[in-house]
Amino acid sequence: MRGVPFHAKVARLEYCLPERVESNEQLLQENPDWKLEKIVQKTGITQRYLAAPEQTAADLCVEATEKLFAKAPVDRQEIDALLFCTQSPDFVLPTSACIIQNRLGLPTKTAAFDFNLGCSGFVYGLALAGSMIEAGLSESVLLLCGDTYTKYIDPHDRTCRPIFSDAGTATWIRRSERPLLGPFDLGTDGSGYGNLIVPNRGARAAKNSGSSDTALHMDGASVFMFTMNAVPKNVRGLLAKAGMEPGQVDSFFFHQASRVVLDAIEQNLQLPPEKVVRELEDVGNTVSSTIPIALKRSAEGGRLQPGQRVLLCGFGVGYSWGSCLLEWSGEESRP
Amino acid sequence: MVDVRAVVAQALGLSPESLPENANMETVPEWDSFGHLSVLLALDKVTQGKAKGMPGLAKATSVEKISALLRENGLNP
Repeated sequence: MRGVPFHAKVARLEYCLPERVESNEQLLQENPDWKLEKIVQKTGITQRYLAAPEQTAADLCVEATEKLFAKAPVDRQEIDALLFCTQSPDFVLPTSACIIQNRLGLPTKTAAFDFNLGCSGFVYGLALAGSMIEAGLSESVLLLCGDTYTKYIDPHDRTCRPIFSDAGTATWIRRSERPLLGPFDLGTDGSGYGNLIVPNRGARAAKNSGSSDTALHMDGASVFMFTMNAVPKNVRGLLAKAGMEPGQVDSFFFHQASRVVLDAIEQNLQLPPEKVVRELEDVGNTVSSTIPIALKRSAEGGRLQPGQRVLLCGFGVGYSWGSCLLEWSGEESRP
Repeated sequence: MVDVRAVVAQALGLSPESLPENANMETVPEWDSFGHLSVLLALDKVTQGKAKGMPGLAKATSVEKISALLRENGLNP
């Protein structure tokens, strides 16, 4: 990071949630055999947001970006890269980011592409955006993260339905005079791909032709064990790379998977509970949007202050994981 | 030596006596997908962090299978 002529910073974030809210009581009405109290004890989630049938992740991200443009001192003609992290694209092809570039009225000089990651996606997106800026390829990048997993979930799936929620986020990353983003530590273990999967919607689905099962499947126990193994190692590796101790980090923003996952990480790393941000009770697990939503809410609530050094860590489907350090510089806004 | 039956029972909020020797996810109502996470956490704690590195533990959904895995991994003689 030192020695590069350009640096990157997170300049502003916004998010968009669908209008439709689903309470746990509604879940219970549809699934009277579910033990709601026990589910909430593990998930820590009391309601979720559901995209409307015609509403896509791209729609949610476009709305989040328009909010961002309304508040940030940025001319949309200055945007030179648009990165869209989603596993719920509008179409198999073309790339949703190309459609979003046009919808947002971004200049044709904009580099636009999708990348297919889930809960690690925001950290990967920051790594991509930061690298493009440091390389001199970009100066002003929009990172959009959005998903509508609820459309993949079987209504009677007790593992997935109480957890996942829909959202779209927009993060503006721009050139900075000094390094505020990084280092990064990224990783992958594709041997676990089958433990969180929509098996019958891609090209590989041809081998399962005849199956009507197009739902999301999650082996919660296997994903949980992956998390317990990978995340503490990832965080320790990042801190070692940065030459820092956990006590030097002001707040930890982990992917908001569920309460039981956050509890396990917090205990494993022996982190003070007050330093581990939790923003999932009323919004659910919004996949790659959980970290930017938590950052935004923390900034708005005054918990996240300029000059603070925070650790971001995303992990999940793939398996894929990544963490980074971020010095918060405050949100840039219109005078 | 890990008393798997006792660990599983405690994780599920049950008394060890109420848990049959051959208890599994199919026969114990409390041992559902969420209960299984509690079992995994408890096993990891009692093995001082070694259990989470054991391949196959997530899919071991009976006292018998968990005991066998612990034996195979040298955690229970």
